[in-house]
Amino acid sequence: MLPVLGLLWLIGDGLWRVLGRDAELLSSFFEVPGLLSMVGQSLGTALISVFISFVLVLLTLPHTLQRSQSWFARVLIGMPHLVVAIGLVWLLAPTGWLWRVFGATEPSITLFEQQSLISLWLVLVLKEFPFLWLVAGIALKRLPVAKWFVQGRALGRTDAQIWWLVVVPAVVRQLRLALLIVAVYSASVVDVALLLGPQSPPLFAVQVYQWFMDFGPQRADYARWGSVLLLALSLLLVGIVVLHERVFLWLTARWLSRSRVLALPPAWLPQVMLMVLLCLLVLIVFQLLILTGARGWFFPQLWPASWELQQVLQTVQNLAPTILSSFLLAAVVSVLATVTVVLLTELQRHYQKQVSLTLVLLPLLLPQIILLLGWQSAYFLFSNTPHWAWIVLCHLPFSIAYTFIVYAPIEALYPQRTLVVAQSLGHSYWQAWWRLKARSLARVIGFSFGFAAVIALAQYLPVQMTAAGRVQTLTTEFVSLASGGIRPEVVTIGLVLTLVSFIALSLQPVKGDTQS
Amino acid sequence: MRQWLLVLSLLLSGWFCSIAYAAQDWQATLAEARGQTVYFHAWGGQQEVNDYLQWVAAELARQYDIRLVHVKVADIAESAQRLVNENQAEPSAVDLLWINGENFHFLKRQQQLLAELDKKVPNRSLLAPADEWQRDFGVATDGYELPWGVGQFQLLVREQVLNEVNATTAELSPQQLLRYAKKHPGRISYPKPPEFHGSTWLKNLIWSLSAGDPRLLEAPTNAAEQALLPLLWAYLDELHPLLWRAGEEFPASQAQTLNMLANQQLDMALSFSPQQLSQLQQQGLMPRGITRAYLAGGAITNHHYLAISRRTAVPAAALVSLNFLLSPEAQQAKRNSAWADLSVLQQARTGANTELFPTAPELHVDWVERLEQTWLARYQ
Repeated sequence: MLPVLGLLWLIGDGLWRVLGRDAELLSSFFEVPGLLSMVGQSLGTALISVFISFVLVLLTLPHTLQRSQSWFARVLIGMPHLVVAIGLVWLLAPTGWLWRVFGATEPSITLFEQQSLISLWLVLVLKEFPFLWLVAGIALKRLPVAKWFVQGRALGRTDAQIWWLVVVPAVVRQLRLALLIVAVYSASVVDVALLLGPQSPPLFAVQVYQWFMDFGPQRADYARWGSVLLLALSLLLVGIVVLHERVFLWLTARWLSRSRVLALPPAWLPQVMLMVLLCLLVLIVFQLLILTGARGWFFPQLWPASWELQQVLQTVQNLAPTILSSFLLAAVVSVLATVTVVLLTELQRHYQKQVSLTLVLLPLLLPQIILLLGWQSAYFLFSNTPHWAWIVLCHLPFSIAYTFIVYAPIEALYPQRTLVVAQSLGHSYWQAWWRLKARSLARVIGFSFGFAAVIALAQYLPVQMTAAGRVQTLTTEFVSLASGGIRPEVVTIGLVLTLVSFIALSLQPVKGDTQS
Repeated sequence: MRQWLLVLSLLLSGWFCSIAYAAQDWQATLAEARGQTVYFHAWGGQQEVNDYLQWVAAELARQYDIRLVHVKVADIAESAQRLVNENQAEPSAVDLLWINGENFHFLKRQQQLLAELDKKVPNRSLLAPADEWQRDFGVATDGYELPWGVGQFQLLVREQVLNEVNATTAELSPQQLLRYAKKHPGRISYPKPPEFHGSTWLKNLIWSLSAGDPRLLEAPTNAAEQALLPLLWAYLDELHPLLWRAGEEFPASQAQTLNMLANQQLDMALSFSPQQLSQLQQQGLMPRGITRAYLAGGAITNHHYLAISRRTAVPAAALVSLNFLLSPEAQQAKRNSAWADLSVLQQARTGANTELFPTAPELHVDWVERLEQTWLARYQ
């Protein structure tokens, strides 16, 4: 209902203004300096982060997902984009730590610096690749890959052919929703784009956000029209990602099947990739840890002149109530989101009707601020004072959408006949579900729960716009303080947030997630 | 004579009565405020301010039994938008706000602020003369907000900048800055307007280039625009190719320019707090060898204010909180805190505020819109 309300508001208030206003005002919107570049940059950023992450996943697709391999992915997923960006700036930017190690002179050419599209792409790929990789790994584990290899070999196919023509297309189909999310997120991201992206002109989502926060003449109209254009951009990206999947599958079927030089990706590639990411992650965390207590740490000094650890302890101590409220909010939201998604998938099986994917994913496709303004308007009809239940409710659509993306494709692979067999032995449907399906899918349910919690933990606008200070979370603390610059306290809160997210993602059952 | 004495005694008794009534009134406000919770929406981007507000919250709880919750926002515009979007027939979720400039104009225009603060807040009588703060970006405050602190636009420059252009004081003319940029291309930049510091840079620059033309203090006319704007654009056309990344890209925020200054990427950053440099240096976040300067013609100086939502559910507690924030005790503590924001009280002014450079007034708010929009059209 919530996304629908938001959509109705969007159509009613946004599109109406677009169509109902003076044509001159509308044309002035299209004459905003740099509009085409802004939209082009956003589109390019989304496509690049999707395609590079996709290719990396294909080349490093894990045959078996080990816990030891996935923990670093969980750290990267749990680490807020802005924290990764801050770490990379202090590591790779022209006065960053790596340049201090190698020569202590500012490089004349550098690939990573602020106000650069390449830097933005790097952070997005670094954050989105582990997410896709983990989803692909979970999918791969659920697919009967061993059986396909036995059957394929019996038919005289090589392992490379089986891999590229059978296994990879099956995984790619499971990745569709995750790719859609990466594309739309990359086009609408604001915080990282403000820190790293170009400013002259900025990415389109940044400009729309600035219009929303500006009270100058016509800005409110620009903000609404910008949101509509951002929505159109999201829909275009959905189309491109779906088309890309079709083209990829068509190519594998037509072109790769005839290829004689088909080979498996080298076995060392995932290991190398893992090592590179591991090194980068260690360096980022290392940088951030130093930053929390460093004083007098200026280019070209390799190490800080002094340390201030008392402040770090004070910051963490002050955060205690905020950590508790963040945990509570994330726990309630993730339990509700996971239960809702499990029920949704079971109900769609029961009634043999597909849940409308568009409805579930709508919260991720629409600009968040528009949705929240819509829900706010609806809530304000009754009261201005926020209620806990309302704050939780406003988080749910985002967590449900992400949980659905992680859970539904894996759940679809479950052999439902086992439940029928169990029911014939006298168990009720839900008894059978609990004893067989829940245990078999325990890991993906656990991961979905953790992921829903991470999404809830990472929300800024849904907390600020609904809670109005009645609930403050680690993310609201982090974002508000970061608006004043990258200070040690900001980095401390960022690291605490990463740790809390990592704990949420690590809450996994020890056993489970087996092929039935 | 008797008649005069009668009139005088009537007037005096009226005056005493009004004082007694006001005191009684304030006692009633204090009593009503006990046990109430005030949601204070304020920018949360500076740890020193957040720490100071923690002290304020503790004092309000101790002295007045009021619970003050600092709602930290990344941009106070978020709270301003909320106030306007709320159900206007219901009490607001926002009680107290830290605002100025554009946000104030917007909320005043939308009639969202509690009126007559200058009559309702007793410590108003302790404030510095009203002519210093009664206009916020050229718009009359009219009792809808009261000043809380002072800001001044300053340049933070490496000492070599002043030495190389032979500046004998902290005053830098635009031409001296241009001369330095020609000698050291790529070492100067400013946050991209409409970022607050970037926009103030444009305002201070045009004030300096026009030798303080009084037309900048009034709403712009066509004639004034045609006479004054070309001065700024001609200067920037010459300066931009000499900026960081040849003026084709700009830092996103003031915080970024500070970081670039600290790490030797730039020789100049901008600040709106006269104490920021010393604070950063004390905390080891800015190296020595950097000093404060201002643009010739004076540094734009303004106030930041406190206002109360018209629909607050706790007007008494909001008024008591505001009154406390303007008390000598709270203003002194603010001045002595790590934030070190200047006092707005008359008493504190004598012989103090040595950090302030010669002042320049705020331009009329409509000039800001012209400057920002034309800048975007020319340079974005």
